[in-house]
Amino acid sequence: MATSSPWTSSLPQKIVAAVLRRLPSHADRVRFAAVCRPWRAAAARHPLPPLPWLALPDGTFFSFPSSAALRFPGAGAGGGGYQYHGSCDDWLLFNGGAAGSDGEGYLLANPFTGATARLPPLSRVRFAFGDGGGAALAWRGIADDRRAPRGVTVRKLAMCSGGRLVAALVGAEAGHVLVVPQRRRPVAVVRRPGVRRRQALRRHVEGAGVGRPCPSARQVHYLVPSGGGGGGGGELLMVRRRFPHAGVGDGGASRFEVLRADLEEQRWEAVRSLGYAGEEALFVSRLCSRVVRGRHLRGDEIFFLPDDCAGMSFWGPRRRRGDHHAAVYDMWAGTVTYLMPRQPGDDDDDDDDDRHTMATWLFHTSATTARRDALKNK
Amino acid sequence: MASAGSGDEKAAAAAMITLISSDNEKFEVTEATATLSQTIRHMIEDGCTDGGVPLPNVTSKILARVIEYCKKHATAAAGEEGSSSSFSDAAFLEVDRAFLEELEEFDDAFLEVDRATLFDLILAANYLDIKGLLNLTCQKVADSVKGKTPEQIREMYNIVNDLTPEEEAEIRRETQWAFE
Repeated sequence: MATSSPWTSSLPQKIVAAVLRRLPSHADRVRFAAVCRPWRAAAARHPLPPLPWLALPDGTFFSFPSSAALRFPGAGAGGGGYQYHGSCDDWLLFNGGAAGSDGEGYLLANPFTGATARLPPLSRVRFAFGDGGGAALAWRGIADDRRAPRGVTVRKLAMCSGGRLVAALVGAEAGHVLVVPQRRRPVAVVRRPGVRRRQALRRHVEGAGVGRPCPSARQVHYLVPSGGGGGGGGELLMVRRRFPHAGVGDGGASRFEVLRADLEEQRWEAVRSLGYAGEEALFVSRLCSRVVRGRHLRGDEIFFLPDDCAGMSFWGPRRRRGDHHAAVYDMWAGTVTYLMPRQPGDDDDDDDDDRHTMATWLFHTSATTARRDALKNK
Repeated sequence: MASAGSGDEKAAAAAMITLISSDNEKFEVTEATATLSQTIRHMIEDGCTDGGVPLPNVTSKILARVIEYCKKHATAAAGEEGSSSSFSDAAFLEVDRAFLEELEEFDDAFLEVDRATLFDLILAANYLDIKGLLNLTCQKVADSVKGKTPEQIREMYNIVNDLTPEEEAEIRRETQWAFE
């Protein structure tokens, strides 16, 4: 074998990991870890928190902030795009009417690994929720599905017919939170471990102050589970996005507020800074929102998808879509910077009202085999 | 603060430290410059710097560069401390911004080195525990590999692919999307 470069033979593993941490895009980290064995070993021993991907309904994926379009085998191959209507972490939810299930089953697919999991028909898991205006919730956490891959912690998967989100299950293990956005008054319910489901639906946070009656509310709320690294026990954040008035076009930028659920006082309180030494940002989209941490982040920023509310009542049929896939809101300056310009071929919007698919963030969480090996060898 | 205000040069000159490179070259630096290195700071605190600090892992060529970096950044740190009294002054903030920009330009120019030197700087920054320099050099490596395939990275850093065919197949199976 040829003489090895000092970059692999004598670079301390700690340094390799430090370089890895400074790569903002997940795809870059994967490629970096595939250069040689020492680097692969360093990557395996220093697992990093998940990084965001941007998925477009045409089957294109971007390892954010890289603007190089990637395609996954099978994704978007069915023609007419990639019509998921839910997402959670690195899973996409499809209306995968299986044979023998009356066509109402759901299929989860992980575009990164090609793994799939079929969910039971929603009609079988319907149950009523307290006094919520008679709202019958059909919901399902994959964590409850024995057929789902082990370790999957879907925390936001509650749909009514038509694929519209009515509730979200947040947190995988201890302290599940069921969040029910009822019109403009989101309610969060803490589900204690070991407590039976119905009994646990007691303690809740009213969206007081969140939904002051506003007939022409041009706002949308994103719920963001925070902290706990997937182990539960984290906080629940809510990002409120206010849209400029119709007619302003894409020249008017959205404004954002961040609220934290105070479960003791049963209210939402405003949050000015995300903290965490300025290396934390919120990534919000209508299907899936997460807190992302990394050395490459400036802190106190909200990354969002400018057009992910297209089709909502206040959007207006004539409203032009923006020229960018993503944007970032600076919580301190109150300014919006647009990112990832649309290319002529890109299509993450459609005039067809029947199509519910919208661009979404994904958060790649799967451990690599190298990492699993490293864990095994411990 | 003795080093604050006008007499900073004189005050700092009182404490000089001698650093000795692996090839036995001696470098006289102020304590403020030397203590950007946590390793040297601990040695000073332990009182074992008389007769110079031997640095057997760092050549004179690299040590000269490291000292250049530390001098610049020690001045920056002193400037911040010295002007804290006028913190709310808008004029000061303006000066501060100009200074930070200058520092950034210095850092950029400082990193205009070949890969072998970059490698030695990383090891020196790691050994001497100079956080700023370590951050800077690691960032430089990270920036250089962004958007590159593993093969391109290997070429760039003269790395031999030592992964077994099985390992490579496994990586490709799991993350094929990253290699197209």
